[in-house]
Amino acid sequence: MGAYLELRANGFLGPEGAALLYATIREVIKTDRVPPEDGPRWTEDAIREVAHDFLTEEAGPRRLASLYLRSSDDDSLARLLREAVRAYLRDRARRRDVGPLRRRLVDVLASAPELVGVDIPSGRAWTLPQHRGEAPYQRPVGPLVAAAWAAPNIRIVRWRSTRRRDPVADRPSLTAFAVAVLEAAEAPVLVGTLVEVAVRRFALAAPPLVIPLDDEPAAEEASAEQTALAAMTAAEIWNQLTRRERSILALHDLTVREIGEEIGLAKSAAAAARNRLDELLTRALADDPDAEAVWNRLQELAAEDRTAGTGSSPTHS
Amino acid sequence: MVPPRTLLAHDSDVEPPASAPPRAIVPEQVRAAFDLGYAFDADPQAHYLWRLEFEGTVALVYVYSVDPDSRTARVFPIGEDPELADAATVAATSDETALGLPLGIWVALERSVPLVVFDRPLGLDATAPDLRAAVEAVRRSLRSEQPPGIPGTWVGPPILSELDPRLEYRSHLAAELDRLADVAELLAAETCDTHEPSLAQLLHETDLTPEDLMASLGIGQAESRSLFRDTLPLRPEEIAAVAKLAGVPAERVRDAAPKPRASLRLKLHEPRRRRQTHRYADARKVTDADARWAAARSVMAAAMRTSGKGRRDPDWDTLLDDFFATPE
Repeated sequence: MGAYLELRANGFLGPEGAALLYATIREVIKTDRVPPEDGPRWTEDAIREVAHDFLTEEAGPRRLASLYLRSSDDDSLARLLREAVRAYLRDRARRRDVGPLRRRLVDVLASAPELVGVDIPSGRAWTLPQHRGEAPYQRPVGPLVAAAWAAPNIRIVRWRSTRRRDPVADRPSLTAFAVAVLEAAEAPVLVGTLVEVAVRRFALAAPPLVIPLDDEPAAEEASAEQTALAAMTAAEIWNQLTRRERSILALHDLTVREIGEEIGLAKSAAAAARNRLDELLTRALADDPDAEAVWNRLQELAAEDRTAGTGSSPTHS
Repeated sequence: MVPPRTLLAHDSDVEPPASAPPRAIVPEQVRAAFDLGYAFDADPQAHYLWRLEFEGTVALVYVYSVDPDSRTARVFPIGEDPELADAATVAATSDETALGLPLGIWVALERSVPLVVFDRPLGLDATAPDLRAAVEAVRRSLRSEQPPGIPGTWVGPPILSELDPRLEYRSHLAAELDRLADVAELLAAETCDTHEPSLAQLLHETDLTPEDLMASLGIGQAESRSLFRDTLPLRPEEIAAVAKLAGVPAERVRDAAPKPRASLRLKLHEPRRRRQTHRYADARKVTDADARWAAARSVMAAAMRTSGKGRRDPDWDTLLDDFFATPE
């Protein structure tokens, strides 16, 4: 019958569709060199787990709907499935990094008296008491991210090379973040959406900035060779940054307003400039196994640059 | 590690508990909107969602306006990932369209497309009035370069960097729609192309016989002989098989093989023919694309028998009526 006609007839992946999904996941893992999630290599059990999650997570029905609406035959179904699996595995890797943030946020939300939890068909959502009767928030997260950036009294914990497990922000700051976002939403917001906003607000999408929050043992110290390599990479990136980007890097932990005041930019322009810098560094370090060390070295360079005045050269060590 | 869970009712030999809730199913509203398809016998109308399709290229669109005189419509592509919306993309909630999904309507990617690529409406209902107003406001703002004057929650954040991954997504949506917008021109250009050598010449250069093609392609004697006379188009998988048999690159066979006339291909995508093709496919449990190919091949062969290889177009409608009227 073929996977396409199965999907068309039943509205779900039949035996051939399931086989195609497994084969596609195996293929993408191989071609994109996706690192295993547990253990030294991908197992059939792990692949089944990915396939299950791909279909049954919150976005699963939407993924399937997209295949249903856009495919015309077995070839186009296979092509669309490959694109969807590739995007899913990329997103999954990112979400695994922010899992601890999610747990921390849920803990903070549950203990904040000013917030109300409501159960909606697609999961648990949070809101302010005056908005509990509204329909859940479904608009883009952009305005919520802007509100989160504008929220006062958010203190970001500084990243330090010897402590990989620092929290991203303290409890009062996370509560202030949630209140600002929920005020802007004027509706219940799913936990997943709040996490998405937090990732952007705290720049956690950048590999060097992913800070697991659980109390796990500290990572082993980097070898001298790794440190040297990281310093070289950092110098390479540093040389490509503009003067303004170097200044923003040095002030990265401050609020957007404070950054703007320091370098003479309006708040919105400072926010845009910082977002651009985060994006640039995310891309530059996306595949770097020593991204955190490079990030730390970049911050050191920025601090040195700021102390010495503008226009200094990187220190190669 | 967590024990692996079962994927589907059909997954391997492991059956989920009978009480397990249905999972991994296309939302009912999406199926209903899609399956309505060919029961809907009318030209596209403004403010409805449609699926466009032409020979494998598919796009989902919001119809902004229709011009019955030129048989074209102005449309915006829609994406199922509203979180990727940019500042000129209106985010529709699940209750604002007949699809029942959150969608992004990419107003800045407006294109004019021929009505022949309109495959099926996605639902009987027009989009919600508030959504239409937001789309109109964004379109107006794009033309006047003024802010749209709607709450920021209707659109996404602006793309500020060349590194923004949404650019790739936007390019993908635009490219799909461009291919559909160019269908008429592409087909017109294609009819002017003549390839040397022809498939018949290519086959005669090899030691292949009609019997070889019959055995390899699973076709009858008449069809095989037609291939040697350049009067029958080849399917993609047949191109690969002939190339392998002949020991030449597939591109050479593809270039040499005759194609269904552009006028016939366009005819097969008219709403009435789409409905007939779908019924034909449904009855034989094949895809619409397979059914369309069968129709094109049969009608081409019939045309060759009656009017030879002349450049004048035969009466496709009569031939297609005969084809679809033939009982299984």
